[in-house]
Amino acid sequence: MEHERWTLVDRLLGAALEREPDQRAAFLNEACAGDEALRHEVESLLEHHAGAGHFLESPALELLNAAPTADTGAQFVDRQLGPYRILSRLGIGGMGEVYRARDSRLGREVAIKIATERFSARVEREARAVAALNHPNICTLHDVGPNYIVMELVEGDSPKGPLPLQEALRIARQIVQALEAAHEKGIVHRDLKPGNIKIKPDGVVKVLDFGLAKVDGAVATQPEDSPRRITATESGVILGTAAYMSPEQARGRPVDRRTDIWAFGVVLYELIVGDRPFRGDTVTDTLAAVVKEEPKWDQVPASVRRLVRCCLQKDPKDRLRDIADARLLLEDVDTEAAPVRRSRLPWAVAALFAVAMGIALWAPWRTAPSNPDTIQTQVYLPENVNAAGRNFSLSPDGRTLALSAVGPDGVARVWVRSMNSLEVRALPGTETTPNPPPFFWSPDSRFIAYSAEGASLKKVDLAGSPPETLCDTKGPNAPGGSWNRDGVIIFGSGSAGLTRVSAAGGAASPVTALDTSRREIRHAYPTFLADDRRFLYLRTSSSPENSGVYVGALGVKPEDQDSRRLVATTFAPVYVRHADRTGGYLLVMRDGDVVAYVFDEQRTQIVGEPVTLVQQVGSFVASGFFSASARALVYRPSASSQETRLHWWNRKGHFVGNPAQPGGIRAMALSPDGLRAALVRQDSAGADQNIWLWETTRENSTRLTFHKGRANAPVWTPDGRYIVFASTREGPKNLYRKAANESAKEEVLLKSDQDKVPTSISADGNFLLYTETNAQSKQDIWAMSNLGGGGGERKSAPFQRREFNEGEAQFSPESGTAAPRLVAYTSDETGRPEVYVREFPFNAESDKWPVSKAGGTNPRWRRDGKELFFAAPDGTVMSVEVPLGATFRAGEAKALFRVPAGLRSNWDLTADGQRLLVLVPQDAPAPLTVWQNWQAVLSDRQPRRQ
Amino acid sequence: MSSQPATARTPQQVTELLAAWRDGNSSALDQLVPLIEGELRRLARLYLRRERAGHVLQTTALVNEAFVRLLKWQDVSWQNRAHFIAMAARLMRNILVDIARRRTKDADGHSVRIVDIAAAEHVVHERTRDLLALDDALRGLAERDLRKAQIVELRFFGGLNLEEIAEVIGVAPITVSREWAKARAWLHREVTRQSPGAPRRR
Repeated sequence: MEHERWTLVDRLLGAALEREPDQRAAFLNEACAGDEALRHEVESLLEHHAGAGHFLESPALELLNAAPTADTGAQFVDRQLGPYRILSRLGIGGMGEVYRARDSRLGREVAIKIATERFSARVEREARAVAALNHPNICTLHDVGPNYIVMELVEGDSPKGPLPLQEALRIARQIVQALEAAHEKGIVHRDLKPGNIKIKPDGVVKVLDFGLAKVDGAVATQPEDSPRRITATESGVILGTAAYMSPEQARGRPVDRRTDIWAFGVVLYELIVGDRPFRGDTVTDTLAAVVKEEPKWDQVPASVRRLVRCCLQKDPKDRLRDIADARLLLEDVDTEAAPVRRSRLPWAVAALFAVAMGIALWAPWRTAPSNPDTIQTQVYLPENVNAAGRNFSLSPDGRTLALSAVGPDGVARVWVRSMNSLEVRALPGTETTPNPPPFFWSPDSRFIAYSAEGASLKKVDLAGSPPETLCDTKGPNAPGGSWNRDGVIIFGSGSAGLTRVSAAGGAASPVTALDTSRREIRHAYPTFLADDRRFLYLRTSSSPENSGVYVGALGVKPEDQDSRRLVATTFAPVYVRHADRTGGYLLVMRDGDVVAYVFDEQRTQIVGEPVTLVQQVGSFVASGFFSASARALVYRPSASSQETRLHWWNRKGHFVGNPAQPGGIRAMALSPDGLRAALVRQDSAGADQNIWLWETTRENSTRLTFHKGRANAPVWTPDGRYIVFASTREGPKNLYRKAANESAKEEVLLKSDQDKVPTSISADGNFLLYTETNAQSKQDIWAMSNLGGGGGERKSAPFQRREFNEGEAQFSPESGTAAPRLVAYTSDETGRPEVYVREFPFNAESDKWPVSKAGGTNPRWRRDGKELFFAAPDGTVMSVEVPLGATFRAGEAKALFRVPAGLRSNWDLTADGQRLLVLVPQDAPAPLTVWQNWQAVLSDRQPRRQ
Repeated sequence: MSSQPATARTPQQVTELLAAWRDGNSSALDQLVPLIEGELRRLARLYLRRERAGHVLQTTALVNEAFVRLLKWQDVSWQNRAHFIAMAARLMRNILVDIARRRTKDADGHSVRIVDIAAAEHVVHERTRDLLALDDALRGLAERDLRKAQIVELRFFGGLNLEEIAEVIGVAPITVSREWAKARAWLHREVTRQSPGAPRRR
């Protein structure tokens, strides 16, 4: 009876789940036919079905794994370790277990920390340095062994906020004294947090674990360069630790004593407020908060706000430089009743305070992802690991990213980064070709196959066993490969068909053959389908109509493979299967975006139209800079979203400053008075660009435009009242104008099917020069009259419209009525871009004067029109004198200086021509963006089962 | 027999035992289980410890490794593998529940004090407790519906995905997926009922 009831409930539950949620109630009404208990039972299960969240989704082992491993513990109790008898276990910390022990020689009790691994040379060295410290507020280290540390047994509790201000300050002062003593000896704590602070029953504060934070040991580096490494299973611990990490630690950048100053600020805040200044539900969220969020300053009493604020400056350069300064500030605070004394601080601290008052308005981490169910985060690599312009691939289980990177020794290897931690390490012995194609994974995510030095395909175990050679490849690189669950590997070729080899190595044999009648060049980037027999792959042909994604199968003769093209592309496809094996998503690059096609495996065909997943993803050669698993999509935004900094240079070539500025700047135009600039800034997703106004001395900028699409090319009107710009918000780049204050309305200047970019406005404000891109005549220069709109309708007429690329037109600022207006512009009519000057409006009679002789772009006039600057092809800033006269005469071009990073379009001049503001791309590559649960945006497009 | 370390067995012997078991020789299983369990337990401990040193862990990887160590993949028919995996999932369940039980005891008995007072660790402890509650609930499910319980065992303790489970128990993946959904709803209700608020959405 009970069994029958169960079967009935089960059947109804199944049937209800097959129906749309809004139809279930009606269904149950009918099906239960008045049996309320039955109906209630099914409804309750439906409720739990909906509310189960991620219940049971991670395997049990991983669940346990995340917990501290008590079961391995107590293994040392009652054992003798040198002169120490282990008495009991005190607890578990980040690096190992802590025991109470007795030193038989001295008859005293000590604490012994036993690590799970041998200490690295650095930890051991630092521990010895700490042992040499003798300070009442530092927990004394008695002895250091290969994997254990013997230290003073400190009885007491860790402080916990909120504490009365006086008490918090009393503790803070002792922490500061401990840090000061350590810093003087060059020892940085790196992991200061309440858990490492103990208050003895007599009130004395002890700081524990100086210099013992785990440090990445994958590649031997300078101690100061070593980013902190946190392993995935410490996740419980890291959540605690992440909240105290400095922004530079969170980004894996080098740390120094200023990291301790940050952590001190966090601890002080927590002691006073009772809450951590930076919080998040996950490590990623916490780190994001550390990097971008501001603490709740209003929670901090005014008397200490300044101190805490000086400690919690995101940029270490803006932070208190010396913990001794904190001590001075603390002394200042400690006078609640007494009138506030004058600061005895160095002036620098006061200046810092001023900087601290500026709050960044731009927080790329905070930008909400377009779909609330998906999460985007960013992956930073340590600074000494260079993965710029290199491939990466995500393991099938989405947990590990294998990336090609060059370490401090200049050798390219296979690196892995766990997606759940900050850990990044090189796999030993995996020297690859200098720029290898994407690595590929074994289906169980344990092995990585890669193109190794010496034209071979190798596999390496994530656990660290030495790599094994699978077979030789025909060329130096095997572009792409796939590894199925039957242990068959197929891989691509730069000049032939696909090849198969056993995952255990051995003889290789061809799977596909080039069809020369179709002018095929190569077959590459295969991915197995769910049946582990068929695969998708890229055929590249010199006939574009034959390049694209095809399906092949093992067991079919190489020359008999299916020659039906599924998708036209020349880029590597990435295929992500659905869990139900009926199909999946085929991701390819299209116009710099990643688009997803729905692929039906059973019918072997594409279903419907592609959907754009990510815009502006970088790519090179044939493989896009993205990789996907069922859960996550990792991509590198294109080079345009590289981080940039504005630098001031003077005309002698001296770097004269790095103004305080916001991030994400893509282009810039100085206002006529040089006090402000219009910035083009990109949002964090890399999708939209908007115009912002910036005072050239401030970190703040104010947003001027609020639109989707990419705004670009701001141009000021000579009176500084308006900004004209281009935007893709309505499809092609159209021209808009907005007054340089946020509240004003925008005005459409010109809409058409062609892309247009404004370049210059005449001194009287009447004419606008812009570059229009046209399929026949390439780039042309057009002029719009009546820009101000006062004198009637705006009209556009071509100024230079020939079959060459002409653009970058700049009005001479001189607006004298007698002399004709001049326009400097660039044309590639000789085969390379050169700068020319001619009269405006276009006059067929008048001459065209060449200004550059060995290539030139980006002309800019000095405000008085007597000097013309341009950029030589190698990035040298050139100057040409322009004597005033009836006709234009250009002097010899003189080289002024060369900006190291090269000059492209992103520079501008002050009115006097004395200073240049240059937008310099930073060396750091764009961080990888991880998009969790990306399939959610495609949820309505899953292939339907029949 | 069972006191002998697993590694002392040659893969051929284990394969033969597995084949004999499949052929109906139940005494073969008696010899096999301690071998496999010993190996899995050893690996589980190794992994739980090694994981702390930064290695990525997967249950299937662990089971695979046990399998690879004990058997030669290429010598084993798929049916044998399926049985092995099913058995391994059962054993993993025993092992992991044991570990969880011991941990909970330690935490309750205050014999362990966590040095780092991160709030997250409390959550983790509760999760460990959840595992025990789940084990109970799973027993209840097995009494009513063996197939569902087996699917949960294979997936949650064995770390298999739906496709693999389909192969092991010999049904279509869509069936596994439907059964999984229903089993999950039922277990979620049971576990929530046992200890209000215990299961976390994580």
